[in-house]
Amino acid sequence: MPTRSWIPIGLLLLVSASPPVAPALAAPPPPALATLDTPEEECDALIEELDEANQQWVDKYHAAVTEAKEAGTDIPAFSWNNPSIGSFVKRFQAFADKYAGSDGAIPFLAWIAVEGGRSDVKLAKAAVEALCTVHASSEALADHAESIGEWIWIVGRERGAQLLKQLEKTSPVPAVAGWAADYRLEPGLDGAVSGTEAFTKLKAELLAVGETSKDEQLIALITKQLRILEVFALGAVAPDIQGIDLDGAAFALSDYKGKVIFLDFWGDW
Amino acid sequence: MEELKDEPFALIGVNSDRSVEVAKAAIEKNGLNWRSFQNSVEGKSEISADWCIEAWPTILVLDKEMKIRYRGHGGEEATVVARELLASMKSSGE
Repeated sequence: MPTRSWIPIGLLLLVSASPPVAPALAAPPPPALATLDTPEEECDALIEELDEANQQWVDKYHAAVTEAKEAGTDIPAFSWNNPSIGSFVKRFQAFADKYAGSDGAIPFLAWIAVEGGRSDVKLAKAAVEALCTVHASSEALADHAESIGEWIWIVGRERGAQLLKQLEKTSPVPAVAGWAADYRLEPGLDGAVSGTEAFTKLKAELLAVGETSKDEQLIALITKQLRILEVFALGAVAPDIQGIDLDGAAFALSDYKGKVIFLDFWGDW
Repeated sequence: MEELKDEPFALIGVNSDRSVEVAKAAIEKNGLNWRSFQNSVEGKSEISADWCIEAWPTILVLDKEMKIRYRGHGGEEATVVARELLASMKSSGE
């Protein structure tokens, strides 16, 4: 899951909202973060509270394990889902409702879209729907562009493809349009089969989308997806590997040409 | 896959352990007998990066012309594909 930069947005707003430096004033400014006055800050605070609750949940589990070991009883099963997640989803949703229709709802909906499905799939789906329709033309979606690729899996491929296509057309932010367009390179979607005319067109479109977005991470993703679709497509001749074995002896994958090769990328860790 | 040892079949690994020692210990422990590339060799890009591998294990099955016939994470699925390829080679008299 891509990590998102929740905090900088709120800070940026604060920085840009502060007046130019006034050296004559000796009094220090009031503590800026004492109150939560933007939805982004409210959302960050809620996420922080959830992180703490999750940590407590994990600590509690560790304590239970220690206790079980000492008592010689069975180690309890662990659910990665903090049981309080449901109440958090409701609180995120309450904020999304409070700011419904405005940019303030976006950080909450973006959180519900990606995380909320663990306790309430219906709300997660509704959040994706709202982000791709009500908020499709908002510039504030830019802060959540990297999670757009996950939305398709929440609402299901077919509906997701419709929504992202719409978002790609509607968004004024090139990075948002780009991340929305990227689903089209998902193997099996949109008939992306290399060697076809449709693929040539798709490739050109996606490369252009990437370039316009100026988003390095998106460009890297598109480049990699295209490489998987082209170089590693079923039926394509695999590239050779020239390397060394575990004893240091040089050999090549093509040494085994003529045989059926079962190539296993493995590790013991 | 012991029963495939007389077939025109090669099991090749690309090992991503942090050291050759770890890999060799795993081979010893599990009685593995396939030849593996070292994934990372100083001064060269990692094989797994070149091959866009994002999850381990990833398995590819290549036919006798080195065309990709399977790419995925299922050992059993891959084995089925490999057996089918071997069967078709046999039936065409190779």
